[in-house]
Amino acid sequence: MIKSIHRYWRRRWEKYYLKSHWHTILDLSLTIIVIFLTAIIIGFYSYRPNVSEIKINYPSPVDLNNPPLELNFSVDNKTIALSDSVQLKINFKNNGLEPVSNVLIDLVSVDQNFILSRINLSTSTPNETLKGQELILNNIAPGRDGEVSLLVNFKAKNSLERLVNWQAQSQYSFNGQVLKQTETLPVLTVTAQLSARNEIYYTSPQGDQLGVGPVPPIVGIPTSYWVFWEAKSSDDFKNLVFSARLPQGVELKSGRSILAGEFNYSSSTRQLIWKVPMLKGQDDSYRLGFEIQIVPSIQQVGQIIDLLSSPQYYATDVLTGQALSGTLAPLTTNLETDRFNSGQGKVINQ
Amino acid sequence: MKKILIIILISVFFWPLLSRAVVLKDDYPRLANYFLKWEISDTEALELAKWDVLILDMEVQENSRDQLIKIRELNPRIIILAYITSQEILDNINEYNQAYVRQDLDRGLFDGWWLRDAQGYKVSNWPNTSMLNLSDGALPDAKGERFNDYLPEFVVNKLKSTGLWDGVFYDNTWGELSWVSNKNLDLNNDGQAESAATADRLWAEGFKKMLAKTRALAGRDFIIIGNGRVYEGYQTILNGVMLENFPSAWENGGTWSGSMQTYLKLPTLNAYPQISIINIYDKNQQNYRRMRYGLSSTLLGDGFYSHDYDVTSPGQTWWYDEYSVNLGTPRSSAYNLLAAPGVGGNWSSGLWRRDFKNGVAIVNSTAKKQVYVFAQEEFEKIKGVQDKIINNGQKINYLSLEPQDGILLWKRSTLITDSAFVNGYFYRVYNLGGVKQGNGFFSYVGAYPGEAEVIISSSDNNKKNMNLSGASGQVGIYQNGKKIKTLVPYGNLYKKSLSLAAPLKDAYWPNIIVGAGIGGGPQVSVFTGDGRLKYSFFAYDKNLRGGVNVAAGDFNGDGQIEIATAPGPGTEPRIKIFSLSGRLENNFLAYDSKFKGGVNVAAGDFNGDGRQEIATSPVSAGGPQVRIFNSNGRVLGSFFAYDQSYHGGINVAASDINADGRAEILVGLKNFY
Repeated sequence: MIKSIHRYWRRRWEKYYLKSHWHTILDLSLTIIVIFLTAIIIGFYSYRPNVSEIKINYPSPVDLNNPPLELNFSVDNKTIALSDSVQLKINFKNNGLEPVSNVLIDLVSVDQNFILSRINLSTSTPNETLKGQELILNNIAPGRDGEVSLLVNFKAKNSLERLVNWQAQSQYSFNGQVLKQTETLPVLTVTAQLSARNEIYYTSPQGDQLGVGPVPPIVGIPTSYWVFWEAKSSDDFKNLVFSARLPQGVELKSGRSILAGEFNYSSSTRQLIWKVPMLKGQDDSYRLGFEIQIVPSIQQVGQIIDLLSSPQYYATDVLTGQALSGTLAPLTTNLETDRFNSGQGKVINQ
Repeated sequence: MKKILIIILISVFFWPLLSRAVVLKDDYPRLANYFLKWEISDTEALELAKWDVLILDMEVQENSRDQLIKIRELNPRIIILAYITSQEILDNINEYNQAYVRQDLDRGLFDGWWLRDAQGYKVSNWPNTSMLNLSDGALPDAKGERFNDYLPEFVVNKLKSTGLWDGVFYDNTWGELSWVSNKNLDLNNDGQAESAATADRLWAEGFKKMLAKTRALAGRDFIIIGNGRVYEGYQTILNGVMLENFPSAWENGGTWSGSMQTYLKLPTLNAYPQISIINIYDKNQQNYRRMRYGLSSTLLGDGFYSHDYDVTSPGQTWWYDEYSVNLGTPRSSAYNLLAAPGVGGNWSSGLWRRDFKNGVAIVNSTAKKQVYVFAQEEFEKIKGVQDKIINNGQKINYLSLEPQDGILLWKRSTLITDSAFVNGYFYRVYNLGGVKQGNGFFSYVGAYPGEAEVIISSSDNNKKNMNLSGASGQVGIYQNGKKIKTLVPYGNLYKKSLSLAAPLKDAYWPNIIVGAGIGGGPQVSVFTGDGRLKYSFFAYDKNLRGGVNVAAGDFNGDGQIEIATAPGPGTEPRIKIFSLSGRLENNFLAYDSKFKGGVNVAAGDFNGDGRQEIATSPVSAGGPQVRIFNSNGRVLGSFFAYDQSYHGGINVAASDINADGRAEILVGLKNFY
């Protein structure tokens, strides 16, 4: 072993060191570095500091299950109309021993079916401000609580969806720490759109004669018109009831075109009722047409005659169970919706 | 003897076939044309073939024989009568060109047959003519015949024998003659003027003898009619009379009521077939009111209407809007709307009406404008191109009619028969050329669901009244309003719409053809009339889910029913024609191959060629363009049925709404806003 080491150094001596002293210098330098590094490693390995004497300022531990700032969100109505604002109440309380500051609450839509189109503060104090769609609460002292009320508007990006899934993403500073939390907000249901039409024609919009008799109406001669009721909805509705009353002197004729539902007339009450058990959303098949007739009397000369009064409708939103209703304008011989004969409603004598 | 017996028997059995018995047209109005040109052009022949009765000058048989034959080819049911003057002939007839028949007639005249006055001069009642003596007072010729013998023989031997004529029109079938030549008539050739009564009696007896001989020689199927003041003594021999210049001053008091009494009395007197004609003269072709007055008055009875320039030039082919109306067969006698119910009115002035299968004719014969409200009825005015104020195509429930005016009104059907339609849709009515045929209507039958595909049979099938309704995946077969069978062509799970076709044969549906609606596969099912499945096949790629629309008819004229299919949305608009068993016979594109909105189909004989054509329309997207094809895919017509900006899809059906013998194209719209 010694002989082998000796041979190795001897060959090295003869091969390098004798030929150039720079080899000697290089080898010595490397050897010194190795020894130095080895000494450092051994030194660190053997180092035993006195930890108890070191002072570090850690923040107080926070129980994330019970964060210091308690936030509660509530809405006034879980069924909303897109045309109206939702009132979102935010109740806050600082349960911590330190003040909470720089509270930022951001309301976001979870999916892309609806977007928050507008947010307003319904009550305003200097401590609460809105920056864009972000609510900022400045400083909340330990133990302090309060309520902020926001008015939120939504806009549909997908008209077929009716559930609004949204959340509040908040962050605040507490005792030198920045805490973030996300709260799922109450799911909102958008009311379905139900529109109804109540129109009258002597001549159809495409120019076809539907009614019969003189326009303007003439004393003693019958004139008939066609009334159309139509209902359209953005989602499913049930139990549509469309009704109106025929004024005295207006008679129901036999002409009909019923695409859906049942149509009945009570001659005793003069009530017209159209019932459709189910309206499928986005369907355009819910239309009724019927023919009515007048025979003006001499006393009605110069008058515009009422042809249909108290038109109204109601139906129940299948998803929400909410009843929607509406009233429509009565119809007269002035034929407001008939672009060919509108305004020719005053009875004339022969 | 045996042979003679056989010949007699054969003659008896085949006599109806050998003789050309005239059968009058059932549908009204019946039209006559008093067209007395001696020569007819090819163009005039084409026009004249549209009339039901022609009174043509006898010279036509020589001058325009080909045209005469052509007219009969074009209108095999036409009645053509030879015009001949009964009591006069043109002077110097040999100087006339193209007067071959008259010259022939003239050659046979005996000098003792001229009608002379007491001074021995020939009597003339019309410029450049001389009168002939029809009475037995005329001198006999060498054969012992008089003119009242010669004329019938001439008619039979020279006119009837050509086979070109159905009868003869004897001009001036007067019953009296005393008004002629200032009562200076020597009928019996004694050099003395007869008294008026004697002249009239001799004339009427001779005239009647002439008519009777014509009838005897020509047979009962040969039509004989005349004109002039109606003389009852001739009427049992005649088939009718033309009441010229109606209401003529010389007829029964010269009033409308008088002429109508005569006109309506003639059928009780005349021989069959009865052809009485009301004729009106007016030099103004655009005097539509006068024409309507005459035509609608004619329609109060069973006669024919004729309209001319005037007595000097009866040679017009004026065709009026009203002539094209097919009122169909009569449904009532004439009645006065102004008279109390049950009161006939004895043809007094009034607002007279007669009902026909397809409409009504109304005449105001009073001296003032009449306004009449139809309490429970609606009619439709003709959509004309001449008097557009009167014939404006409007639906009406009251009528305002000027004095001495008349009108023809449609009773319009608002029900589509023998073709599938969508219950509750609004349908416009078009002909092959895309011209509207009256007002549109909502086709709706309350017994069936809205938007169901419905077929109403036009035939009552021995009072069974069969109807079909297809909706929610089920086909209902109805009889007298009661569902007798339900077909479920695609299983109970299929609840979507259906397309139906059921061509009528002998008042029955031998085949009910069903196609799945949108959402279903393009499967066609063929059932028997009582609901047994016969065939089922996919008309297009079975993976498509746009459904298939069906129509059925004999498209190629082979006497067999074929099925025309059109795909629903999602593929190119390829129409296919299959046999009932599903063998593909032809196919073609109805629209551009890039159009994938789906196609509706209907089948009907739109051009009257006896074969069914195929009408198509877009189911969705695309403009409201209807196209009509024959079985080879050749486009026969194309038009936009609604505003071109409308892209909501339309539906087509085919039904003869106006009873003209051709199917109309009915184009339905779900939402007409």
